[in-house]
Amino acid sequence: MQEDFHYYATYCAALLAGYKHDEAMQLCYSAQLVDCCTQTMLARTGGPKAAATTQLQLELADASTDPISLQEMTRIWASFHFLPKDLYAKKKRCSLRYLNKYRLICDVNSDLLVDTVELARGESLQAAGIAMHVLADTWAHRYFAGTPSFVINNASFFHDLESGERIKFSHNPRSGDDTEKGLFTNSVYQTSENSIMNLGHGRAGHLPDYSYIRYSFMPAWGDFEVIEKDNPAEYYNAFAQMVYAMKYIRGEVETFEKEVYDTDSVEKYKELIMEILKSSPDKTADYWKRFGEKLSGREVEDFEGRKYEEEYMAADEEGKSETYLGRFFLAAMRQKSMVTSRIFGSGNILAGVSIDYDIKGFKGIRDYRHMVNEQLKKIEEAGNGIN
Amino acid sequence: MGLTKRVLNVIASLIILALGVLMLLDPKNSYKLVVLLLMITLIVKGLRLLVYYFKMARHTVGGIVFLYQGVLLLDAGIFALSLDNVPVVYTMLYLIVCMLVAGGIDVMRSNQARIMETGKWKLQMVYGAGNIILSILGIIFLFSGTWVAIIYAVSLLHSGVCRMITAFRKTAVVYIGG
Repeated sequence: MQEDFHYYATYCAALLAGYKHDEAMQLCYSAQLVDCCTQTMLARTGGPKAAATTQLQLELADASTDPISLQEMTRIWASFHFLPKDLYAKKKRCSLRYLNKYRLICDVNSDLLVDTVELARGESLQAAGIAMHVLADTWAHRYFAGTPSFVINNASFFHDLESGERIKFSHNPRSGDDTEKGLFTNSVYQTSENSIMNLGHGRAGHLPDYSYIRYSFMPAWGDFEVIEKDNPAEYYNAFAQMVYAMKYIRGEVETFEKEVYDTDSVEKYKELIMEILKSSPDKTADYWKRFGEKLSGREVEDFEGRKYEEEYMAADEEGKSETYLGRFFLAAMRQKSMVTSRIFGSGNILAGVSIDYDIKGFKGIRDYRHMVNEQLKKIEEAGNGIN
Repeated sequence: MGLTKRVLNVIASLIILALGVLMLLDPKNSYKLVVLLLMITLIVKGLRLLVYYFKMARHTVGGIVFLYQGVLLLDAGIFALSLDNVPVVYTMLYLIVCMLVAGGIDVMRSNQARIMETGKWKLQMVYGAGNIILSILGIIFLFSGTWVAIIYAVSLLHSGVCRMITAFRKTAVVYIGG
């Protein structure tokens, strides 16, 4: 998914979930920021490196494929863009190495999605925004894993379900996609298991990110079965699920359950939403924006990647946590920490090692100490409140 | 590039440099060592592909290709190793063609990096162009015995030096404005 959905559609969903304009703006900004918070951005602002939620192409190109770098990559991509469906999935006669990668395949309505949404409840708007990004991406990026793997992420036989024609790919990122002519770019075919070319949906190019397209393909892991992907229908589900999830985060709904979509709130806009989703990729952002402005009666400003950077950089060490970016970094580290812990808990070390603070105290990546301290402070405050 | 990869690159470049010097000093005899290494490389690569197939790729669409590749390479390695005397011309031709292809790929990659303005293309261009020039010279002097061995030795030294430079290059994340 891209800015059209993560920013503008999330804004619309937030309004339908009951957030006010200003809150919805802050929330959708965070949802989009997940695609911008790179090591480069963190180096520029002085933010904690562990808060990275994505990687630039150049950062990936520079990354090695040694186990530590692969774990770093997996932590980022599995936590924010390819949330695993089933960490205990079984497949007959497989080696553990294969199974560990197979278990990281992203899909919708997972236990980890419930954990993600629950983690954001009662927390900052930034945490809610991050959760919405993760939720939306489970629909777009399903069937791919957030770790480099040829045996999982390679894909072939792409066909447009509308025209029935084979989808052609080129590998030059400069040429871009020509959706009118059905020409797309994807990553290069690389048989090296851990090549970054085999990370996520690189082999499918941007097809999963376009809301209008309906296509079929054969994933490497799928035992020769063809998968049909109806993006307009799936993006609609994503939208309705976001509304439901945000109602839960706001406290309007008591529990967050899998496979529940707030179709009641969305139904009356269904026709319009489907029209937006099926429109050409260069127009969807504008259409979502107009829909949002119609819903709130307010102007929706465009996403500006550096909007909050100065505030963060100008704040002193104590005050950084109270800035917009400070809260975003904290929420990002909590999400990453939660997902890593679940993956490690399933006996899979592809995302690295997780240490239980209650048992062993603080160990590991230093950046997380700030997150732990904030959590302890919160627990203490809650305790004082009870007393 | 991580530390492990740097160390492995340094070790590999030292081995390549040593082989290059050996071939320059004694082209006729050290050639046998190069051939032996080539055979062992084929066998190891074949075995690695077979292990990869049975552990990972057999569950994958199109994964059978790793089984074929593994069997072919292993077979070629074992077959070549079992021969008492492999004709020098064939072995050198194989090595030179490999070098030519690798050089071509490097030139194309560096050209792509140059177009994309990633700023890291010059060394790869030198490496690729060097390999192409040396392999063309190798083909010209293929039947000259000692000369072809010397050319190959120079290409090994060239490859070793480039790999060493790569291992010590700064690869920190660059700042991208805008």
